[in-house]
Amino acid sequence: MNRFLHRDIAAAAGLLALGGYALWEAQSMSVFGAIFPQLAGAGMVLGAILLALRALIWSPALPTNTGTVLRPLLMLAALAAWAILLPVTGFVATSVVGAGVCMIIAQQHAVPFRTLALQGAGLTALVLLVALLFGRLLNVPLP
Amino acid sequence: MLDALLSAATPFNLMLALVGVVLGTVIGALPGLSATMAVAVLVPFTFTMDPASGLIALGAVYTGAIYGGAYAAILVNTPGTPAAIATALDGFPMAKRGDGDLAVTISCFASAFGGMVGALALLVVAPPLATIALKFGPVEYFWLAIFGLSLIAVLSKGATLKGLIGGCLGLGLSTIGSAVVGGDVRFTFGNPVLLGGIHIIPALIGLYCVPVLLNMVATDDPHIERAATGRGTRIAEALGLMWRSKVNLVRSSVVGTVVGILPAAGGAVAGLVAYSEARRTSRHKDQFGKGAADGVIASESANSATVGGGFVPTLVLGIPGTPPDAIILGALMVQGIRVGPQLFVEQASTVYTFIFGLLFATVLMIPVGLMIGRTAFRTISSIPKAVLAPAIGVLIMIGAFAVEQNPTHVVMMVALGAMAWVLLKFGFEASPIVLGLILGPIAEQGFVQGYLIGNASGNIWGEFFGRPISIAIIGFTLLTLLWPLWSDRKARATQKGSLYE
Repeated sequence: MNRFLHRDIAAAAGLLALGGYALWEAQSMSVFGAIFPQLAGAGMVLGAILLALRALIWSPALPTNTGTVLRPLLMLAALAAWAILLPVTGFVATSVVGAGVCMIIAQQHAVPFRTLALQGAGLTALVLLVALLFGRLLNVPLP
Repeated sequence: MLDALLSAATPFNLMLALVGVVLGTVIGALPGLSATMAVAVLVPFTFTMDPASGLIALGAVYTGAIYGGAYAAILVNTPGTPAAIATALDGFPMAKRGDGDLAVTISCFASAFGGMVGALALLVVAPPLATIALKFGPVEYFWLAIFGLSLIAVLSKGATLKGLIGGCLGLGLSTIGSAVVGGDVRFTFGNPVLLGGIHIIPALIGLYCVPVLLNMVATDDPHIERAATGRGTRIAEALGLMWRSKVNLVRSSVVGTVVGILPAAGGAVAGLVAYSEARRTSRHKDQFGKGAADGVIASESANSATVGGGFVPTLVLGIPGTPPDAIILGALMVQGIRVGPQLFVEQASTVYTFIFGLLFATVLMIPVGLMIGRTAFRTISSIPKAVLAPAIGVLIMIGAFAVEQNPTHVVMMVALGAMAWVLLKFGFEASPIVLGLILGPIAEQGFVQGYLIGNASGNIWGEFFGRPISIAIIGFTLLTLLWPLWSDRKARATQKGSLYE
């Protein structure tokens, strides 16, 4: 049993739980309201069973592993914080800080301070331009 | 008609068409800013113009916005508008291998061709075409959605089981919120924010763009290959590819026009249906999803053809085919124009001036699209990842927020993006999930309403399987599902035969 097999079984377990939950919840819905949740739930359960069977019976090829996971996880955390803080601290402030943090996470190599400052200035200008375009020109009430 | 042509060709109307196309293209290119928003924002500016000029401006903005969605789809793998979903399937792989400039050029010409076919259909056969829309009942919409869902088999790229599971996941996501018929509150966990369901734009941005953003920072590889020195917009190459794919181009434009006529179907469905047909009939179907120019041609010509197609029921029947059509219908009413079958007689001058204006706008889209596309490709392919990633971050945040000025949509977008990224790690692609999410409500509404109608008339089976249009769509669905199996078997038999020889 290789790593990919384990992954498919983990995915199947997750799908089974999700599909089971959909089927369980659908019981409390009206006849017509329950049709598509049941369809989706049954599809997920059936798919999970087939996925698990396939993983146990024969072994598909290993997927290619590209790059680190740490950097994407940091980026995801930054995006999540950015999204949560957006209505609290306002679009401009959150986006300047959020873009700055994302810029640091995305740096693959050490760069001179001058380059960092230039990139930061460019991103700040972009945030201000977007705020101007949406807030003033398109009348979108930005937080 | 000659008067209308001359009226549309006045310097003022041409300038309006040009400005409209430029604005529409830029707005459409930004993820989250849809064609609907582009048209809605500019409606008030047209109230002071004469009706034909106002309509030309709005039609040009609409045309440009539908085309503009292709840039983000090709260069960032994020459809700028839902209509460009199918464009990303082959456009982004083309950009990844260094043919982003070619993909952008092809999308420009294909969009212009599709737009012209749609506008010509509006000019020549609008009234008879509008009657087709009236023959579409809930059951036909149900089967149309099933036809679209059958595309999962096409999009799965050799992982059909995972594609079908992804489709079920999307279908499940589409059931969150109030039920489309009956009002059941489903899977909201008591949170009123989820009552309205998952909005398609934040979902599109999250499912397509966030995984790209996360994977972008994972490696040191360039996001897309840079343009080779000296290669401009690759016009001759693009035109050559389009000439070789002329049947696909014409068929996709016709599909786009017909789907555009159907109220609520829209550019996303048109692009997907045309893409499915292009793949089914292609001799190189294994290339689809890996950067096939035919895929970009099919999607872009079809989604642009929906602009003209959508105006057919809007102008002839007063039934808007798409949300931007509904806004333009409102603008027409403000101008005191009564739409209906008599419009082409009573207001012939205004209507024909508008249609010719739409044609001019579509032609103007070629130089505008090529110039903007060239700049966009060069910019995105040369920006370092450390700047590109946060810049995309800013655009997706504002894009998800701006749709309904709702901060919850931004959180939803990031959550869906995280889910898509994890699923991608397990081998599940985003496209089947998106298909389930978009087509789920159409299928559900059509099924429940069709069932109720069939139940009331005492013939449920007849309602679903006895109507001519339904039978035709079922036939196409079966063809889409079975054709790959049949052609594989045929290819194997031919190979076996040649081996014996």
